[in-house]
Amino acid sequence: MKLVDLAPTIPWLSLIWLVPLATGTLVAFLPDARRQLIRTLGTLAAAVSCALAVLVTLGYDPGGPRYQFVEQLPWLPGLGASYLLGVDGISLVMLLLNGVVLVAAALLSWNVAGRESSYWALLLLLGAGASAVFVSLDLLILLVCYELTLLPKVLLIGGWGTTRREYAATKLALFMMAGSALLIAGAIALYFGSAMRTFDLRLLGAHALFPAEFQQRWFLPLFLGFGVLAGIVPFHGWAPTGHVAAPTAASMMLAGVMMKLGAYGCLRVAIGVLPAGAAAWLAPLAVVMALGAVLGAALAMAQRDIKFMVAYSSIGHMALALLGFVSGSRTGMTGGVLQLFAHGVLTALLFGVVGRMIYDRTHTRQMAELGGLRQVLPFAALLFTLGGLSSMGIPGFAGFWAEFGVLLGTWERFPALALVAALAVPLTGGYTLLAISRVFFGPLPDALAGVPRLTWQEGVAGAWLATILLAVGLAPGPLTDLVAGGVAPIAEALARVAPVVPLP
Amino acid sequence: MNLALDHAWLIAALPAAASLLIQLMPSRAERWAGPLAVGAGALAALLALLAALAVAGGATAAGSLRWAPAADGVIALGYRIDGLAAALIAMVAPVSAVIQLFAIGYMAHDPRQARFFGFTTLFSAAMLTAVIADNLLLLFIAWEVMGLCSYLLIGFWYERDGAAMRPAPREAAIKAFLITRVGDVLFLLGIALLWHETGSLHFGTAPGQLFAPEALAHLAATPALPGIPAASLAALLLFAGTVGKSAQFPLHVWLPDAMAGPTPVSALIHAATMVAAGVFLVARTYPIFAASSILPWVAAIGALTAVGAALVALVQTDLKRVLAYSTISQLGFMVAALGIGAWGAAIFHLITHACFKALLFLGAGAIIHAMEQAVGHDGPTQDIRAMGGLRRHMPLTFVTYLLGAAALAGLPPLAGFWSKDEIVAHALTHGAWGVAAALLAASLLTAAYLTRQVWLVFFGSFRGGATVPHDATGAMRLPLVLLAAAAVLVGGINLPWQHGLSDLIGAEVGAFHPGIAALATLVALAGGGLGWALRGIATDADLAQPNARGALALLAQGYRLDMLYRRSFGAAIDVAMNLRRWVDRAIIGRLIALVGTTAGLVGRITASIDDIVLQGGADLAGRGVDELGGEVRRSATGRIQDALALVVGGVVLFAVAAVTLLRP
Repeated sequence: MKLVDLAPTIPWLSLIWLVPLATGTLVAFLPDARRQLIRTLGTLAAAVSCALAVLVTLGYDPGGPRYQFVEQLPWLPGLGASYLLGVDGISLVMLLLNGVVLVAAALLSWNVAGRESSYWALLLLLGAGASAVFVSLDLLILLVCYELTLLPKVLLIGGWGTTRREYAATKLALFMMAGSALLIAGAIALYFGSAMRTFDLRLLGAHALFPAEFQQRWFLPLFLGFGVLAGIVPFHGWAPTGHVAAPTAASMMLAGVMMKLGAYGCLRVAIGVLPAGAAAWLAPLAVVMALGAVLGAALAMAQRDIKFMVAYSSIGHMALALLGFVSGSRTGMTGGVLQLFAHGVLTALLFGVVGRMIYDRTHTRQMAELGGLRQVLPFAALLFTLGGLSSMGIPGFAGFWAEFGVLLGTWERFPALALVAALAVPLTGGYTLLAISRVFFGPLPDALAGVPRLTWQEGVAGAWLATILLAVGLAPGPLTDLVAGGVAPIAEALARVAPVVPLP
Repeated sequence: MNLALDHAWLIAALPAAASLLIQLMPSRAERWAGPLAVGAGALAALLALLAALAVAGGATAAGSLRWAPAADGVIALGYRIDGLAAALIAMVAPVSAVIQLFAIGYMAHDPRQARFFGFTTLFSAAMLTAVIADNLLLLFIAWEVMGLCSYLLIGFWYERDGAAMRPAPREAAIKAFLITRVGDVLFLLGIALLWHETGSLHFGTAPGQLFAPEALAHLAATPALPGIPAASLAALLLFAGTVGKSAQFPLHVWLPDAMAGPTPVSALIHAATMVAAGVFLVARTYPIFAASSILPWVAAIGALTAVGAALVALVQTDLKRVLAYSTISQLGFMVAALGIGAWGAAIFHLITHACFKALLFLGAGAIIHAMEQAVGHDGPTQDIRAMGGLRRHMPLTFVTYLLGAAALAGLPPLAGFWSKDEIVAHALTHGAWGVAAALLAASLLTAAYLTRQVWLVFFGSFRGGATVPHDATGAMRLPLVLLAAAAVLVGGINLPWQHGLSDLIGAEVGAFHPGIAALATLVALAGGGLGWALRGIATDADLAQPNARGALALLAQGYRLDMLYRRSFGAAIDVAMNLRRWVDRAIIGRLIALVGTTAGLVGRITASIDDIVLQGGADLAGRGVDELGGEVRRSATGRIQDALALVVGGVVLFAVAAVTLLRP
């Protein structure tokens, strides 16, 4: 039910991405010496953008039309492209995720020293670009904004990163460009594939617009093009190095929001526009995702560097989300989108603890060199444990409902794959508990006895993310309703072309 | 209407509220944590007993809350106090309260009392929720929270290392969590299957609910995997949850190590309640098991576990590990009872076992507490070879422990006699000869290991040094007396001529045959004689050392399953690493090289980047992971790898079992 009436004359969706963009532009022109102002402005912009996302969510009418708050301005009329924004349940949840993570990332960026003005401008640009992708209903705008996020990602890693940052930034850029090549080809195919010559996703997604053969040919390039950013195995190579090299806030955004952009594209564009193509590829993709979930967890288990561990765990969790999508069932898709949200928040929390609270103090991420940190950083230990519990899918945390939905949905079509993917669940428990045990318990190395306490920004950011994980875990209703409403048309379109066949 | 039944949700909510209060308590109020936990627990126990009486009088209660929407409908999470739930809450709530009262004394000098009581009260709340849940999803959620509390409490003394305790609590906690999680995730898949096939997770026989006749008929008739009926697969998946939680072979290996937790935790979670939840799960979903073809396998696993664990208990030298293997063995009795159709007897034995096993663990706690004062914290506080003669020094503990042991051994007219006899009688009168033989053998061994243990601990003279241990004082005395009274009397709830429990839970009344009762008693007495004869067995050399050889050593090390699991995990990790290397080399390496080559041809990328891409890229991840994989295998935390071996092995075994056993 709609909770707030928002004035239709105000372009709410544009504000969500314009606020961080405008603030980012402003701080880019401020001198680094005004760092206090820059940080305050940046954090405020993130908070306003997040608040607007909440407001729009409250103003969304689940009983109303599929896309709401639609804004349309002519842009390239000759090409059939327009500035077309609108949100459904899926976009709203993604917008909320972006707002939540951006606020935390901003709070954890207060200790960045050097070139503050550029850093904050890039961080805000990243957040603005992600919001714009989530609200775009025009494929061209969506892709332009999608490409725009590449620039701040690479520059943040290259300019403020740590471990082998040039290498990581280059690798990321190469993988992304390869994905983009597929996406651009796919977008052009879609444009010429229908007689309508339009980029309007509402029209492109209309029932039976493309012949089945066309759909089967172009589904895979689009899915994989987006999938590279979602970190699907075996195109995940950029993710561990990128996440580890990135400065803390950037790895939070990278794993928490950017990977979700890819998954969102898979769902919205690849599956949403080409359901018949998707139907042909569901089974092989589901196999890849189920194996990816297990492989990601197994590789996370093998890491000695705790940031690498979180990075590999992201690959496993994203595979689980995409498994929900390619299960083709409404339950599975709902679980998949919830997984995007839950994993986005929890991975931001884990990266925040590991990158900012631990590494910036200890200057090591090797689990063998850490230990006993609970004695000096009890709140960080609590935060990591809460994030870890959510990651393991313990009831009471957001991750549980996501995992539950994905496994439930996968069972409907691929029971055997549900069994395979389920192997990732205890493995996730294994590496998470091992990491907690190694980093926070046991003897405290003497060198770490005097580490400084958490700052207020660290405490607030961590508490913010952990509270959301718990709140969604304890009261999943509002979010699941929203998502279930959003995926319903996509699942129905898929069910029309690929009904679940009962087993012999 | 009945006041207690009307507010039945309070039975679970009171401990939950206490837990929340304790967690939020300022640290200077910490000494109130224990009394608060006991107060909430006692109130919940009172309500539970009143509610159970009301249910026995014919009333039921139910309530629900719309909570978790699923995509295709709403799962309303609610509670329902029927006969089975009433019987269980009437046991769980009082036993929890009594054990927490004991813990006030036991944990009196621990600096983290609030943490302890915060977790134990949360555990009680979860266990009670699982029992009164009216649908499978809520039961699963509570089940998982119990597992989490178990993990937190086994590892409660996380700063202790493995030297004083074998293994270290941190490792034992992770091992327990991971192994039960293997069962849990299969349980979750069972839920997925049932939801998919029937569209409901609600316990009930009304149309549209899980146990509706048409739903059960559908489950029995529909194949879930080719050739396997959905009912059988669902029952097998649910049973996997039981095997993990109730420590049945081959997933039982976590329970002996779980003794690294504080002893009241062993009594509450790893003897009386949580481990019995697996048995409860099967009883709760019995219509599905009845519609499946796996009950013979359930009986076989239970019988095998009952005998195998009792045999291991005979040669243990650690006071608590004897009891842990005894718990595994007794849970095997219950599971076997479920398998042969005596589910009423299984629940009866669950309830009596909770009383006397909690008593035995608290007695062990009193002994360990006293030993700490006699031989010091780092001394052999749990080694029964260092005890002896405690009969004179700890008379109260001796008398109560003896009553608990006699009840467990099944001596008439104590509680264990009635419940065990009902299971054996059912097996003998229903032609389950193999199960009957196994259970009689297990009974013999039970009496034997108890006699050996009681002899070594309480008789002879004290072998631990000049200072002798003394009986506990204060809060630790009353629980021993209360539970001893329960161990003597609780069999009265289901006597052959007064079968209150069977009527309450709606189970078939167990038959009573004087001949079988006499046989069971004789077996127990013979076991006592055997135990006396073998009282000196396995007390000389340290057979638990990995290099010890021989049949006794094999038993002392629990059939060396841990080592087997460790080795198989090594192999599994090798496979994962090779796969990873292949993915890196064959796909990613080539891809990067291709992109790099193309870029080089175009001439847009500088030589330095080219270098990185062409030479560094392909090697980086593969090389790193190789090293790491080797490190994982070499590292000293072998116990955790045992657990992981189970994770991998368990699922594989399960798949093999599902495919081979269930094809009609």
